[in-house]
Amino acid sequence: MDHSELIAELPEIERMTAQERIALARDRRRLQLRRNDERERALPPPRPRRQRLHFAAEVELLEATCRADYAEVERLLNDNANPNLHNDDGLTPLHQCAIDDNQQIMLLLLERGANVNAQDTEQWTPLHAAACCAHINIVKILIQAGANLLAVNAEGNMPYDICDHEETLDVIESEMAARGITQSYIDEMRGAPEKAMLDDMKMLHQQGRELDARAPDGSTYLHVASANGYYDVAAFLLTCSVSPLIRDNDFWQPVHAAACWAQPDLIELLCQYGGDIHAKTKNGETPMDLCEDMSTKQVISQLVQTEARRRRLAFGVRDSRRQSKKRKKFESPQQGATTGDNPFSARGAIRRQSLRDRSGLTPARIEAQKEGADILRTWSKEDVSADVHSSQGSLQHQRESPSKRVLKYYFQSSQNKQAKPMSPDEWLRKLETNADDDLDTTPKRSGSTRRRQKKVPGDMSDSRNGDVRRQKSTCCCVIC
Amino acid sequence: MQNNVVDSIIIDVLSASTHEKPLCKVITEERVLKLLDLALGVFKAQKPMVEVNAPIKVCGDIHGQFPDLLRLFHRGGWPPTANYLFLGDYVDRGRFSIETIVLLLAYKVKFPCNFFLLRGNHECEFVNKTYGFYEECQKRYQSVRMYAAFQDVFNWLPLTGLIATKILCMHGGLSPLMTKEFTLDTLRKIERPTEGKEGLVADLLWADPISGLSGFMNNQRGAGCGFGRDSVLNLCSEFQLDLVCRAHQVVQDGYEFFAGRKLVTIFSAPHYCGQFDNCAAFMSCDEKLQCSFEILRPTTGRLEIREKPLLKDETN
Repeated sequence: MDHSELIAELPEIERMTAQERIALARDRRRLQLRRNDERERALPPPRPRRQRLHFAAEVELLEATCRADYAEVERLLNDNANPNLHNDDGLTPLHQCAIDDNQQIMLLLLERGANVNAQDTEQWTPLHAAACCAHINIVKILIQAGANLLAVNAEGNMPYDICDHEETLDVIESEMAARGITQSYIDEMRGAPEKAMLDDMKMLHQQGRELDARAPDGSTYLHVASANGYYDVAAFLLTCSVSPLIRDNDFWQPVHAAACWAQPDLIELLCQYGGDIHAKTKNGETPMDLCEDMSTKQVISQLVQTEARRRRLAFGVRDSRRQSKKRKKFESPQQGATTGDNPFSARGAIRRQSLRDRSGLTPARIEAQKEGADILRTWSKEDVSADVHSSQGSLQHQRESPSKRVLKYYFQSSQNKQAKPMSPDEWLRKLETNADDDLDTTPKRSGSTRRRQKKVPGDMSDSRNGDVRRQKSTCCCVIC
Repeated sequence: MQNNVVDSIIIDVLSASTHEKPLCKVITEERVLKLLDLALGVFKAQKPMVEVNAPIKVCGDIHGQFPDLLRLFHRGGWPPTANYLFLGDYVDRGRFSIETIVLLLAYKVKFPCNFFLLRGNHECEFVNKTYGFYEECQKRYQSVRMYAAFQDVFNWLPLTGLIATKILCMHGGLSPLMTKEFTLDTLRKIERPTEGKEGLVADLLWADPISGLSGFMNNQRGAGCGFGRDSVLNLCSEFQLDLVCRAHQVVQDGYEFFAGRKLVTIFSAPHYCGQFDNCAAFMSCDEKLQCSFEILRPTTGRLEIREKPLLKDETN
């Protein structure tokens, strides 16, 4: 009620009895509540509380690092994001900075406790990535932060093995010399994983335990040794009567693992002990099918020929050369660098990322280009089939190139676009050619070797030991 | 009656690999046509924009890779233990388009309010003729009638999805028609059936994001358009969206961001076409709208034995 109305009402209220006043108050309150209900009902319903979408912490931090967004990375770290989070490949933000040559964010991450020796699922450290990409300033930062110069990745390479850039390599090797790292120490560190496994195998053998025990996926110690190129371990297992024909759940024999991971000397060893160079997996793949490395393919090819020759002799077919001259002993070809590597192979997340960045050749782009050409062909075909009155000659003409009507309809802003769409095969051939060109600009990873001969520059007599024994943290990421 | 038909189809298609008879004998054409009739009814009853709440799992292209679809359900949870929204491209390219689309449509009919399928550019007749689905129907079922029935269903598939009013989903991407005089109601009122060749619908099915671009341009695929970062940011701020979620492009890790984290591409066919060694992914949104990505690696029989779990297990 209005104030003036209340004032005007006062004399009348004074004349009321107490009972009458209480009744009047009740009436007024009831009226007040009714009006409030009406007003509430007329209002629109209240907006619900805004639920905010957000991503998992590792997704956000890696994405911000990829985008080189320093401010957001800093904000996320201030919100207690763990700087050592990683994606499915074990890639940490520090790896990403090494790949992208992002010094600013790398320094921030290291300051906030990022593990300088974090390893991805293929045991690459950020220093491996920086060395491979020849990012010299990143290499210096990592060395300053205590990077392990002798970290061995899954292919048996240390950072300086995969560095093709002279100046960057010089930085690494100078630091190795300064820390008093000798060649024998390098060899010792490189062979440490294999030696550890060999010691374990010998201990198991002494204890009388089985040497062909299986992992849940059916793989055995011999599979592991064959995949990693652990020659001495495999030789030990084979001399202890472990069968070279043992299969895992996917019907992979050790020779398949050796072929897949480009270990030619392991393939030879397995075949000497009775391994089958023609063995097939559950998917029908032979060692040759699984092999991507050219020099390993050559070894397999020669073993296949040797096997074929032996089979012919077993059936009594005479080898005329046997009478004329002494057979030459089999020699394996010189192991070269890996060639013909699939740039989009699932192996090597870091290599894949750096390759993608350099060439701009992403799976999406390949697919889009291919599909664009196909769609052109589709519409051209459709237009021809719809024209029931065209003559045979006209049909021939229209099959060779889309008619102007089609072009005008679909490309109104670019009538001069290509007159003839390429077939999918032509596109793939062209893209493969481009891919080969792009591959040349990418630093190549050297093939893994059991004993890489590389001399450390500087005074070899300096026996001062640097602080190189750091605890390697194994990636906790589980690959499914 | 309806549930019995669908249940038996689900059981038969899930055990398809164990049957010695070809698929057309196990799941006859008549049963497929019955399923398509039921599915058509469901899609007609529901709107062109799917509006759902979290929790939900969002999946990208499948492309007839039926074994990988089973892997995806095995990881994410079989319906109806988890809600799903698929962003299209169920057929073509892969060798098992029929198994894939039959299973997905069967789940749609059986769980119409927990299982959602959007349309992709490969759910269009002029694409299916070239990229494998038509050929697969001809080869395995010798039936143009069944193929035509699939096309009738495809033309009625919904084109967009909206999750908790915050995540806008489509197969391809944005359109220049989503600027002036556009509201989300425009997407709710798209008329069906449509062949998906023109205008807004074509862009929703075909568009691609392009780094470095501002605004829109013609798409290099020859259909739809390309859109830039600013287009995504403008749309999100205009309609209070937190994310645009699309598929349509193969990406190496199964998912890839664009425009900060305002747009994400999801691809769910690992080792795509047998040519790429890409991973597959799907996005999990929980009740609080926290999103994470589940990754499925390509498997071509390779061993992951660089770790030595045997030694650890054995010596401990």
